[in-house]
Amino acid sequence: MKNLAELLIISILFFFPATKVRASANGDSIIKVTYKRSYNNPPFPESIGEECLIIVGNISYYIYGSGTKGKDGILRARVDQMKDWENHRLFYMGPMYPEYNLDSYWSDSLPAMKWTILNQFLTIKNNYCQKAVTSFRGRDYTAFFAINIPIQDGPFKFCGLPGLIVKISDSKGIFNFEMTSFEKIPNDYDLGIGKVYGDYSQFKSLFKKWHLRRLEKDKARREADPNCLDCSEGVTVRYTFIENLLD
Amino acid sequence: MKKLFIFFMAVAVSTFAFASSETPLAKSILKSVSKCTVTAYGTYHYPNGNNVDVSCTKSASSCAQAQADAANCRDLNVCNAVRSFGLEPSPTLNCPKVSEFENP
Repeated sequence: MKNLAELLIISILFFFPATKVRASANGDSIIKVTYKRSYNNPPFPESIGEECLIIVGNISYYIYGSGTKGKDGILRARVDQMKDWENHRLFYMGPMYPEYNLDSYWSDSLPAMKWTILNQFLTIKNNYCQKAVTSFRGRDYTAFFAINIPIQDGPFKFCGLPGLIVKISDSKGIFNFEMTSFEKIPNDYDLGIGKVYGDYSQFKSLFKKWHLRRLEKDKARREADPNCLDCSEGVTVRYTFIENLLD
Repeated sequence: MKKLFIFFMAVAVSTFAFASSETPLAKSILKSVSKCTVTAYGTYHYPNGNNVDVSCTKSASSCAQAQADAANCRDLNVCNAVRSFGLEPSPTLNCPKVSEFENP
């Protein structure tokens, strides 16, 4: 009986630090970079949103908004992109309803773009930044990265520069991301991704077929009922992809 | 003198007749021309950096009606596009419920 009590005490002592380690790991500080995303494609209205890059060690998560706090105090969010720097893989959400829902992810290379760093400098929000350009899947981009923040990350899939991307826009000014805050915060996030179905080339091939199928279905619906409110002449529906997915 | 009087009377009567017939005619033409045409634009952002842009041009006899039709048309199209990705559109869009809506 005495031996059993000793064993129980040893077991408690053995497991207690493990629980502590997990709890403190959860409370460790992480980096949260907030970006203002703007999509500006006149004559359509400008769409502005807040997106966050959450950097936890070797993994970063790019999310819409800054997450929703549950009753347990944990912040959760749907992850748009996850960058795994240890394994040099990027994962991104690619729903194609109904076959692939919002928990469907696809892999991509990390970084996915090649940069040319220019000898031009600019101070943005007290950060000394250097200019870099790249062409990425159908668009030309200009970025400014902070020399004083040596984190090779950025919004969306953009990364791979010697400093954090503070500002990036495509040459037509349609897609724009600008850092609005950089902070160290306690890790109250519980982030993760769903099932990974394939790589970028597989996604692109499936997406093109899915998109064309969707357009055909919509066309058939309009032809079947030309008097419906969202049909008839004068109705334009246009999809603008940040990556050229239809080539 | 009598001939001159008859001439002036004829001119006066014909002018009145033209004027009285012209007025309603002009009004009816104005009615068809005064149709109000309105274009509503909308943009919605969805996963992986993609966007759907919608424009709807609608005409109606009143501008309020044309505006309402164009806005409804825009919202329905945006709802349709957003749902085709498996997303639930934001409540501010006032999308019809899925059961009332064509299943994307």
